[in-house]
Amino acid sequence: MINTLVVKNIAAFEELHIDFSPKINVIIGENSCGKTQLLKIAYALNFTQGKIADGSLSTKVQINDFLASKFVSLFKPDKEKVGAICNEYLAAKTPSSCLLTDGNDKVFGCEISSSRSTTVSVQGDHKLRAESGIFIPTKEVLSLLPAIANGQVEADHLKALFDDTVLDLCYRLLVKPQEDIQKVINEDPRIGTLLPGLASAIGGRYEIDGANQYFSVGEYTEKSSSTSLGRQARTYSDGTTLSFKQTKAGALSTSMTAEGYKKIGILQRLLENGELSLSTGSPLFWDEPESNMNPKLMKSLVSSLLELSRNGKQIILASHDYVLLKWFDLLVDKGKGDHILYHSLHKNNANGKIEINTTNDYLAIYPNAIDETFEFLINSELDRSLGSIGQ
Amino acid sequence: MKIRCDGFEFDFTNALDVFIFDEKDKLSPNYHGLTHALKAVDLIVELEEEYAFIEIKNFFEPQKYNGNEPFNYLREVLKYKYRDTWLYRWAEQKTDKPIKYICLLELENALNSRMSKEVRKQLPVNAKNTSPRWLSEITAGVGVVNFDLWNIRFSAWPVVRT
Repeated sequence: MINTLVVKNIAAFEELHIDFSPKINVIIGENSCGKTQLLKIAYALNFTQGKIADGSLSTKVQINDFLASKFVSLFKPDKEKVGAICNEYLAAKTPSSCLLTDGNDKVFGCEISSSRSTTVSVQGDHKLRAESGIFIPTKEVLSLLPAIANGQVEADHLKALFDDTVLDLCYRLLVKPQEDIQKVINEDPRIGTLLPGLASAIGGRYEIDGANQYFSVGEYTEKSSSTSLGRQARTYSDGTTLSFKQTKAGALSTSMTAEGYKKIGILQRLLENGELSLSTGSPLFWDEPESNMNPKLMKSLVSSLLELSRNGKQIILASHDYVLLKWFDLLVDKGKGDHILYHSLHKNNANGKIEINTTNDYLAIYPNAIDETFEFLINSELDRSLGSIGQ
Repeated sequence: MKIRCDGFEFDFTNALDVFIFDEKDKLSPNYHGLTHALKAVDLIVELEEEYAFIEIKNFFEPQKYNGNEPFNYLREVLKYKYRDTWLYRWAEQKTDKPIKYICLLELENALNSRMSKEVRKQLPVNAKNTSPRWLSEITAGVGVVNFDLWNIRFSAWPVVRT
């Protein structure tokens, strides 16, 4: 879980401090205020922590090198120099850095030197272990999976074409789930409460088998089980087993299903294959979940995100979308422990700095770039309809 | 010209006349005695060249929407209030200037934009453009705004909460 993030002289930010909710965080703001950059910085640090946790990185030098290459792969800076993500002018006075704290207020981050030979040096407790979060980018990724699974495109070419938010997600989607979904649920019965809801939202389930992807129409059904479940499993699943029943013969090609359905399909797959782990509290980063989404599906998507959060997942998303924001406002249920922080990124016109206002009150979001868009629209509409009355 | 109504105080600085339509005080010169018959908007504003019918509605009153789909119910309420008021004003021979309908609702801009569109569809705005049969306009314009947008939009008519 990420508790706070402090960014200095990186990307659009001169100095930004953000306090995250352990549950749901919605970042809004106009274009060029750095919403995606903020997600990428947090993800780079969190992903690196995951590599430390799984033993891939152990020495400071390895961590420094990995972080530098991760920033390059995520931001694609000029000449692939990590220093190019820093504000060169400001960094001459104050070093560029990004530091996050976890739920126990342990610090992890790095300083980026933008001198002639750019270096990244890890700061804080580099032994701090945390599972990597998942980043879902705006770009549609399922259509890339067959080519990656078949090895038709070389890794270097993929790196040149896509940033790591796309590629990391592809690789994690290709991780095979256990054959018996019940085993997955027994390991974490909370998944048993989430999968039926996701399947009913889109009327079925996405399945990925290497290069083959398809959508099966159906639903999850429960039946009483005589199987002895572990104590933890018993608490959640109440002695039932869950299985997916196809209600319509045959399967649809993924390419024939709606884009919005695919987004929920991504959540299904990541839960089934354990990549979207609920037990670690590592964040789910999602950049503009609304992209390609039919607004009528938004209620299901927001319900799914709230369920994920209720089951321990920290969610950090960036959005431009009124419908998404409004559904969060309407569906939030404090009785179920829901907590949402809205973070408004905006440019201070007096000094040009990107600043952030955070509130847990939907109506108190200020500035609210999304509502301002509607104000602009309704004003134009009133010009046409009412003329200059009252002015 | 200041007037208080439904928790707001308006100052219609350029108005010739402003009054609460459904005046409850029988001694008031504006008392009309027909509230049992027809619905009415809250305020009538007379300007040099036009009239404004003003309706103030707090959307968040669930007891008023029992058994109804709130959005559609509210749209119907706004529609009938305008139409009935128009009949009253016809009986007063006060439909001599174009009439614009402004609703002050406690909704966000996005929802007000949708409500504007819905009410505009129900009340025939610019009827004269639809058919040569219509020689007079029934409604000259409709707008739905919230408190913040009212003060931005209608700068000559500032409103404060009381």
